[in-house]
Amino acid sequence: MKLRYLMILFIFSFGACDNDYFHDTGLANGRHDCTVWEYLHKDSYNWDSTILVIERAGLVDLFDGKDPAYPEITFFGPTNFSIMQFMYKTVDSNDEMLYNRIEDIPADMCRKMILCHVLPKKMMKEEFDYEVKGTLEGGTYINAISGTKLRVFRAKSSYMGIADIGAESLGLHALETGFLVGIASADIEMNNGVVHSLSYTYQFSEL
Amino acid sequence: MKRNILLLVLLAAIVFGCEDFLTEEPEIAVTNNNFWKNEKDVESAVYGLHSVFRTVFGDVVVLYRDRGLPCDYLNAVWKYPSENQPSYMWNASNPAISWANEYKVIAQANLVIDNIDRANLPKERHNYYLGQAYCIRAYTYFYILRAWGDAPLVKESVDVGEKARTSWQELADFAIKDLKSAAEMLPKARDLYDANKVKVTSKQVPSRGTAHAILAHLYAWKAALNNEPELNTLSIAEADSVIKHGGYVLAKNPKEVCDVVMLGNSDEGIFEVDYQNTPGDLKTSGSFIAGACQKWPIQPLTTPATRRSIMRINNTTVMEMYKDKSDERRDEYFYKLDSMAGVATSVTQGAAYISKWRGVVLNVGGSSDGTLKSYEDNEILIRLADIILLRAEVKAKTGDTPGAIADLNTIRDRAGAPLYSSAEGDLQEAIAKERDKELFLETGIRYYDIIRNGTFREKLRGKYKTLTEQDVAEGACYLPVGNGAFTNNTLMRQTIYWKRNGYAY
Repeated sequence: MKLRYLMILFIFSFGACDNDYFHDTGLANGRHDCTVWEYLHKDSYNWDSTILVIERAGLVDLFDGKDPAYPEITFFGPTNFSIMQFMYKTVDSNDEMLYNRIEDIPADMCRKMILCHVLPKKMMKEEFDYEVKGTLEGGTYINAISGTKLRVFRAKSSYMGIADIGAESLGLHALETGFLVGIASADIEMNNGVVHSLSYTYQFSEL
Repeated sequence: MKRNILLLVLLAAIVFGCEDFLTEEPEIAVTNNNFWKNEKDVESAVYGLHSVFRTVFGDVVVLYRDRGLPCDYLNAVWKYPSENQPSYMWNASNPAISWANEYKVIAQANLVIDNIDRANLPKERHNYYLGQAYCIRAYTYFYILRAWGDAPLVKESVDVGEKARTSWQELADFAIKDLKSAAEMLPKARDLYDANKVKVTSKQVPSRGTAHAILAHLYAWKAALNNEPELNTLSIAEADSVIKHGGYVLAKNPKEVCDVVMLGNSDEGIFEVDYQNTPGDLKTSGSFIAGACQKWPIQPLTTPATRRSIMRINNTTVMEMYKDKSDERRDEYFYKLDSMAGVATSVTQGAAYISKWRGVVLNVGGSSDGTLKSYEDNEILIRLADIILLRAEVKAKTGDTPGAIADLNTIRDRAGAPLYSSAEGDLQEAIAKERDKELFLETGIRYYDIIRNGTFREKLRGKYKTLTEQDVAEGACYLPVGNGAFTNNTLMRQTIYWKRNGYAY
């Protein structure tokens, strides 16, 4: 008799855990009901140095939707890591860092560097063309606000060994300097534009 | 009683009767007794030796051991060993300090040397194969004694059991004896034929010139490190044999060096690890120095801004090395050195674009279409320019200044650089610099040049700068011995310097 209770208990112990452990968080919501400038403030882990560079460049209005010339923008955003790398690796001939704080970076330089990461209109990932595989051509050729010639491209990847069915990535190619930058997270959308966040390994530079 | 005796006799007959039966060769196994029957068998054994040789000397650890790269930036893999602090990078069982692979080559060579007689080949063919095995065994011992100093001497394939380290001088003498035999046995490079009477063009197959070239290096090494200047004369004589009688020809200009000589099996090549672009024959690009130092414009799908994160040499360093604008190596070994130096350092990282190795092989089709598959360049172990400059160095040491200058100028002339003038100062230093320029980044060359000339305190970095004479005598310039060598071998001893510096076991 006791055994039967035990068995029932045993059976319950197996049937007990349903699917409580499974949390479907849904697809990421890339839409933020605010301006680009406000969005950057929401995520200090990634953007607080970027904010300082933008302030130093005097470009707050552009990101806050207040610049009448550019009501909407696309920002290929260099994160804190990119800016840190720029500061660590910009050294004089004695390997001493040139800039220890963002205030040390000339404002004009900040402006040039930021503007070559901004397109004069809002462009989501889907609006860019595909790269021609095995070349450095194809995609959408477009100028940044700074006038820098960019090639922005989507690329297909393979999955389980089958070509072209894997994840689609977005990339950025500065045609004159040759910088090739991967985009880590695309289509972060705000009311006055979109942010495509650049890879952490990218070193912030004038494209 | 009689019956018992009869039984005993019968028993005795049975026991002694089956001699041949018991020694019968198993039909399903390959043994030395049944293998070595004809030339094809010997050839396949020697190809087996070449296969091991290629795996071992084409391995990436051979690059990692190169502690004399003239780069300005090296990642940790090269940096710490190059500063003579290998323990920061290599633990006791790291393959970079293990000689196990080199001894696999020696074991395979011993197998050929010990058994080739069984095949009863005609003398000429017998010598062709035996000479190769001698030559490769000697090269491997030479490599071991330069890298580790004293090391076990395994003379034959049945020589197993515990082994102490034999002095490197004795290893050198053993290798010299092998090489002398090989030089007598082997034909010249252009007269090599395989078992099917097909001409052999691969420079991995040693010829008489290969044996002389290794001897030239070996005598020069022993002369310098064992303080036996009389060996320099022998080194010059061996180099003479290579240069005058080897049948080798210098490429016309530095462009041809990059396009033809570095690709391999050229008229300038003397001894190489041979790779062909055939299925399964290539090694990975990462096992080439080119894979570590070259991106744009050689590697596809790269741009000037593609980061070079393993090793870099600054534009300024290269310009200092190749001072003369007329030196064609400036614009062959490097891509547009002068104009690229004007591009922003945020793009160039301040570094020159090395473009010495050009045998790029691409992936075709599939998801990696158009990307770098590998290089098909050979690893050039010894080439004619190396031997000419070695002779220059040794002649300068023996006081033959005009001879040394003539050899130095042969290489300068080929590069379009101005000929030597006494205003340049020390001739030996000029020759050492010329070797750096001509043999730029070729594996293992510069480190051993520096050790041979004793200039490690000036030219190497980190702890090399402060080594005392005592440190050097205790083996500071050699690699530590990996712990694998101590397994089941109570006679093994660590190099004294390394016992004190991170490798006590």
